Amino acid sequence: MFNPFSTLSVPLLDAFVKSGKKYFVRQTFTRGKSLLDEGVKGYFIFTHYSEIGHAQHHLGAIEHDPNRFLYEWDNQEHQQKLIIAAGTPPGYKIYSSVFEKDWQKWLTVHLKDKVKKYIDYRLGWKPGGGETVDFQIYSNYGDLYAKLKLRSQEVRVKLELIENG
Amino acid sequence: MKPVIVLSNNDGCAIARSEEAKEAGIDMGMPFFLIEEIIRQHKVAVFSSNYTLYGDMSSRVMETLGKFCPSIEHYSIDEAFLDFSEMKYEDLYQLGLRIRKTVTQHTGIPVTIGIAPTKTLAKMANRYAKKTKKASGMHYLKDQQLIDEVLEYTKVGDIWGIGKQYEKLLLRNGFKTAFDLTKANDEWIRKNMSVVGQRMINELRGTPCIKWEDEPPPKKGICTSRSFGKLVTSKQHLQEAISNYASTVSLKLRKQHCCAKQMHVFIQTNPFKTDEKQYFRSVDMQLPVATNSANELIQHALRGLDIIFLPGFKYLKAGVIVNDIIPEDQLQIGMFDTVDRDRNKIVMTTLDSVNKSFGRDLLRFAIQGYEKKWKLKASYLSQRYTTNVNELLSIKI
Repeated sequence: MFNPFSTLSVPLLDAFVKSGKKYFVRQTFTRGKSLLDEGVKGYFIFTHYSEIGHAQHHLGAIEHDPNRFLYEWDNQEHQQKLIIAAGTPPGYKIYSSVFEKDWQKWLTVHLKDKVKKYIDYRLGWKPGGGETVDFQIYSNYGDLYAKLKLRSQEVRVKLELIENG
Repeated sequence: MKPVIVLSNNDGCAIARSEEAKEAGIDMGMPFFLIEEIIRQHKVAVFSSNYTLYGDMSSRVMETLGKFCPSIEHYSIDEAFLDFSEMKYEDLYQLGLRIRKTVTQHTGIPVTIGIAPTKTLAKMANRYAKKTKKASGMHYLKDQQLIDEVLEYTKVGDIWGIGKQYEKLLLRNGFKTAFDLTKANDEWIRKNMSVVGQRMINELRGTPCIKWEDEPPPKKGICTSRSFGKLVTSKQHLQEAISNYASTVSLKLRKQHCCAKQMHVFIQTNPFKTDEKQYFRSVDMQLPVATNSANELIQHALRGLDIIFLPGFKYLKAGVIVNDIIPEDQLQIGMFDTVDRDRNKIVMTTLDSVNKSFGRDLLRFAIQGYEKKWKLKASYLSQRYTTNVNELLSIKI
């Protein structure tokens, strides 16, 4: 699966905290799995928030996830765990909800094909000569979404739907 | 006193709470499902939003206020400015107390009053009264000493018109209170906060700079969108909902004597149900001729829905937004327009007058339906005591 998310690192965590993002929601992140991985026990993604209410909303939206957890930077115990998570602990792959700078380069021909098929068959869009469909990705509650725009129309779907389509 | 909270549309989150509810641990915007335990434990009284009741009570309060002063600006549903500048010989403090007493007597709604030379200072005086003068519920900034006291009390982030970004900028530059800000260099203010900031500083210094708006300015865009009470999968229910929203939008347009040239229709699934398939789609449409007729707007909205609807999803929300709004009397007719607009106008006038006399939506288009299975969830709705004859308050004597 396409995974444009950055690995959580200490400098990234520092940057979040400095910009007032003190709440972190942890959840399972299956998109992080790779066939080449060996001995990985868990895949997680941490989403940062500056308001606790937003973090709680996120937590409520993933109630089916047994690994969900809300870390608060001002809680010493949580802070220690966040620092450990940012230090790439062995046996775990931990991501943050920000994209790698050059995520476009990671789009495979296979995925581009899937997107094209979705546009053609599912949406029925027929771009005219010189027109292009604008393709963007964004993250919502730790999940990856695609945003497609053509002329006056806009569609947002989970990328998974396109990948499995 | 019993703790009380009011829920948002569809009973989603707590959007208003009493002091007692705050003490019980209910934060603003907390999702209902997260506070159910606290509600049970503290026996919190829960109410769904009742906009009909609020709208009516608001107009009663405004009507009472209007009796004291002909120049009134309805700033929001629960705020108004009264212009006392012509009342030079009136004891404004006593007048304020009288207004407060009368509003409570007429409506049972307690109000707080701030009197000052400018709108910004009046807002500040009002806040000061709310925080420190609970008994009298009013504060009059009669002289500079009283103004300075309130300016020193008010932190920059609490000034009307200062958002989070400006608050950070001001704190970074050593301005902690409104009083500090009155001493700021004008050039610095203009450079960092534009002319809007300069206007605000002048208001804090006692020079009125925010213009008086007797009439609310016409809206530039009108939106009607709602979350459904339960997830909708059938296209027929979506058509019903979209038709109702388009009809509401058309009524709002006619009320402000305007027509719209552009329409945006959208549908979306529930973004909080992360384990379900997600889909959001919208379409913008340029209308051939600007209109405010419900039949035309419904037709366009349904055409939009045909474009964006995909089966197989559980939809939570839909909406209709109109933009590019122009006054009714500046309508440009299309050369190839075949719609009988004079006839439409008569139909709409008749429809509005019937609905005004006999109840909203009594007369409607068939596509709008009657069942409204998708209707908003409001399980804790209080009665519409003042607007529905079947729900009048009864008292035992």
